[in-house]
Order: sequence, then C-alpha cells, then structure tokens
Amino acid sequence: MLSFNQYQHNDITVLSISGNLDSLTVPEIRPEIEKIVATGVLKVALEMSSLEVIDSSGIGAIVSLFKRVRGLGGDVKIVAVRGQPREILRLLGLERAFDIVGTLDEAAARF
Amino acid sequence: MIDVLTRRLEHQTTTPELNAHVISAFNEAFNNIVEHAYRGEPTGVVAIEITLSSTSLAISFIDRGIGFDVDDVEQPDLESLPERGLGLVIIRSVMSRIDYRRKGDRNILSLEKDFVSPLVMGDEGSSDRCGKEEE
Repeated sequence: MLSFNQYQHNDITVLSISGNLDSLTVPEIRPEIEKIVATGVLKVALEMSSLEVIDSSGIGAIVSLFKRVRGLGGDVKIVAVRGQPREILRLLGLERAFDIVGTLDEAAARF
Repeated sequence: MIDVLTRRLEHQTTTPELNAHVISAFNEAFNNIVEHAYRGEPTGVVAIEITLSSTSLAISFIDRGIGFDVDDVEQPDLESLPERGLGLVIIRSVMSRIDYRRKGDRNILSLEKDFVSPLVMGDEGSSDRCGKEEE
C-alpha cells in the first residue's frame, strides 16, 4: 500500500511517500510526479521516513523525477530514507548521485 | 508468499540488511515473471519453493510463461541513471547465485544467498512451497 502527499516547506516542494513504492503502486504516484515537473519547481524534496519498501519500478520513478527536475536547472533532495529503501539506493550506487539528508531543514540548507 | 518468507526470516537471527536483500530479490524476481513471462496474460501460476538453512537461503520460482534467460540481459550503465532494467541489477547484487533453466514448458529461476555468519536457527531448517495465481 502506498500513500503520499505534497506540501510546501518554505520554498521547497515536498513529496512525502509512505508504505510501498513498487510496480503495483508506481502508477498511483506518476501523476503527482508529472504535476511537480509541470509546475517547473526547482527545489524538490522526497520525504521518505515512512517508506517501507521500494523496488526497481519505484527507483525508476524517483530517477525520472530527479533527471527531469535537474534538466530544468533544479535539484531533488532525498530526506530521511532508511531501511530497505536506503539499502537499495546504496546497492545501485545512487547514494552518490542523490543528495541524501536527514531533515527538511538540512535539505533547505543544501539547495 | 513474501509474508511466509518474512516470517521465516523473523524467526531466525537475521540482520535488517540481510532481510532487505532477500525481500528485494524476491520482489524483483516475482515482478519479472509477472511482467515478462506472463506479459499480456490476465492470470498465471508461479510456484515458489523456499529452503532455509543456517548457512543459506534458496528460492526457486517456477512458471509456465515466456522464457526469460537472465544471462541474456545486459547490465545497464548505472552511471547514466537508467530508469528501467534495475531489477536484475538488484538481484545480482544481493544474491550469491542465480540460475535460470527452461525445462519443458517451465521456467525455473533459482536464487541462492549464502550467509556471511550462520543463522541461529529456530529449528533444523525449513522448506515452504506454494503456487500462486497471479492477476
């Protein structure tokens, strides 16, 4: 099961993701990602403290958001990722590509 | 079946990292069967056998869909941040061995994980088998 919500933290657009982001649930979050990209925001944070499991489809969705926001001249920070999702990011070498921080305030300081 | 696997691992002395590896590989292998072997099919059967000992875990997936030899799949260039083709990368990076065989009309994908430290087993080892109708 996946749940997500979008909100503003100062000038950062935060997408908070909870539950499982996998091949079954990625289609649910794709429109939200499209909306974020369409608005042209340049500071995006993915808040993942309650994300339990991610698979390759979920990673693909995050990489897609990352590349498109970067393509606009912006950046995506990964906030409070832990457990299995953190391990998958490490295994795929994405800890080097993504800026991973502990809190939204840390993310704000690094844009 | 993933619940059975999770419960089996919870009954042993495992690490969060080991659990993350095994659950990730299981999910990716199962998704590959649904998405590739049974592509376009409304349903399909996957038989799964899990054998856990103190030194290793073996998971076999048996389906009757289109063959999908993992050795024929090229590794994507991770530096280019690919959005697809990461499932096998995950499986290969967390499991000790992967074997694919086509036997008659069946595909048999076997994954094995050797444990760095032997598990303290709740019993002398265990085996589970089930078939799952996937929609």
